Amino acid sequence: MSDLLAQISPAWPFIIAGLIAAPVRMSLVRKGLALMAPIAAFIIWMSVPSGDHTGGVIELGPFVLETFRFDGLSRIWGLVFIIAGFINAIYGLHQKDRIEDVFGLIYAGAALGAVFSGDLLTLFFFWELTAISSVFLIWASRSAVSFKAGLRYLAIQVLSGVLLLTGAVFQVAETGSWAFNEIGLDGPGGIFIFLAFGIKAGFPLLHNWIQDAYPKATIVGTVMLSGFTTKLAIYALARGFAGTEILIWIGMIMTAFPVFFAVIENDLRKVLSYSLNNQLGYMVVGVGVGTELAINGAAAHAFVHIIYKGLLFMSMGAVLMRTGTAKASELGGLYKSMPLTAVCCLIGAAAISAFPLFSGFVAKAMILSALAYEASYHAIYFIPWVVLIFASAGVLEHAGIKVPWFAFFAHDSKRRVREAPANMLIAMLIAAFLCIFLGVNYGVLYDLLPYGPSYEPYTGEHILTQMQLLMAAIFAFAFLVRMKWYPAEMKAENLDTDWIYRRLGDGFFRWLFSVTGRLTAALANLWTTIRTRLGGRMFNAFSPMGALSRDIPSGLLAIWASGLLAIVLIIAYLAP
Amino acid sequence: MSAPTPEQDDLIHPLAKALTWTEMPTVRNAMFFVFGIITLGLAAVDFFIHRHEIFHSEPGQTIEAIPGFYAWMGFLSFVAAVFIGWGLRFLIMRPETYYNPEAGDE
Repeated sequence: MSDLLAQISPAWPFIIAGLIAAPVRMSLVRKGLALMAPIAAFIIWMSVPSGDHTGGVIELGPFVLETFRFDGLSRIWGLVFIIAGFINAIYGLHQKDRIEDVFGLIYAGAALGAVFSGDLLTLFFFWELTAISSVFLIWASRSAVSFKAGLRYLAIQVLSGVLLLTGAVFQVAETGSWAFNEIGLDGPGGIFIFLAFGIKAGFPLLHNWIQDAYPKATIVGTVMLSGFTTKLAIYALARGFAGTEILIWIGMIMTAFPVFFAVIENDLRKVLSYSLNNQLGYMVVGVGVGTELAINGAAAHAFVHIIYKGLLFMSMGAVLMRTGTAKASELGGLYKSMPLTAVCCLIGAAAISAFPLFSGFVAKAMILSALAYEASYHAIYFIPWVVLIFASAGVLEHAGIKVPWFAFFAHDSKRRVREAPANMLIAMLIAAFLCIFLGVNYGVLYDLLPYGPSYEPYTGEHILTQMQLLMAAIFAFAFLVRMKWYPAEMKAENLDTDWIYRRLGDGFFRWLFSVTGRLTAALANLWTTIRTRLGGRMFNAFSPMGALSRDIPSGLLAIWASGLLAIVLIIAYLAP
Repeated sequence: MSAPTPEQDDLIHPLAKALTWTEMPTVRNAMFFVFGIITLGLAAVDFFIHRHEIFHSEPGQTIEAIPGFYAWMGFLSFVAAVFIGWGLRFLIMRPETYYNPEAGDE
């Protein structure tokens, strides 16, 4: 039995459950499938023999597709995707939406399929499947705004897939192999694939699809989206580009710039989307450093991040569901109505801020330590190290304080609503429990890491320095509030790089269409004029009443014929 | 007529009643002093114990060796994030209807 299971990627239970759920009208059955799929996937994950393993090999003519490569790296990513799939299924139990159920399952399965891909072709297939399935979670909001956002999202995601395939073809031409292993930036194939991964990882300037699309998805859809796509990209970078130095600088920028956008953003789900970018930055830095400690750090951070960021999105989803808004300017004092949701949100906030005893602390520490170690030998890395410290305070500002403060505390918005539904609370409590459990029993997390445990997060100095940083940052918040210097939340649209295609690009194409329209009309006009005039002249010449149909006197014809004959004779005479 | 106090508000979740003290003005005012004292206390520890610097350079040569370095970083980073973000508003803030004239709540 275990031999059979070792051939089946944990992706298939999700995808098959999604396909079975598609025609099912009974919500109960679909929910049952959504809960069973992660359990089945977990059983497969558990049953795989220890050590590296390749199964599920499919031969398609000259192509050999490896659908189940199980090793240290894919093992931890696979597990956290399964956990996320299970928590998401519980969170969405109250929601009777077939599109969400079906595509949520297929999306989770596609992400797992990509993680367990052993070759670039299989990766491409699942890479695109994540894009195509996840867009329905945005469209499931069923609004004109979400439809347009979904189209933009899909275009960018498919572009990533196209770049991946292009890069893969170059890569095969260079190496003769479709295998998905270390790639590097030496050839054009590597550069294309790097960009493909970079889009999904939210590299600076390629990041804005996250903040554009995620807050416009459904309540459950946003939670699902937050878990898979971007972390899949981090996995892909760790697999193909570990130790690529430029990633340290890219990651550094990713940690810092979203902090400023998050400070002024009013939509708390969008704040969390910026925060997502910031957290991805830490992971990208870890991949860029590329040492065993750093890759362990990136993997651990991805693991805990999926859980605590999911928890934060879940709490904001519950707020949105009950109040109808996630805008900070409209919220406040909700702890009075939703105390359990508030506590869960605070636990997620503590975890993402990396307070000791919470999961973020034991993960982020590895990345910072690995970077500091590199900085000891390459002084230039002192810059990203300082930026990452800055960004740690920035995370506390927007995800640790702003989100819970403006939603649940701050001024009382006088909204008295019901607490979140039981299933949402259970999902949040599971995630909150994991945030604390993994922070305290960090050995459980470290045992899952690709390179084995060799790090001690709870040293006196580490706890001291982290508490110095966090307490001083909280004091800064109290200071700014007391001085009335903390900016009030304002209803506004803050421009980001999506302006390039939503305004500049949109404007350009509107201008282009307008010019093209006018040009087409002018050309049509010209053609009509030419046709009319030419036609008239032709008619005048050839019609029964035309010039050529008129009777011509034979004398005139004789003169013309004599003239032509004379010309011919002259030419013949002069010719050599 | 003044707004009902938290205790008088029957619609408050029973579990939340234990937390209404967080709204007391004295508590909110005290936050500034409580966190200020904690921060100063934690920063002061650096004067009494020698932290092992994480950079493998000459001891005392890195910025990290400055007493209270992490506390300074935390405070200044937070303030910088807020002020730079505030400044950014002047550049990038547009009306809520900028992209979509019918923009409103979700």
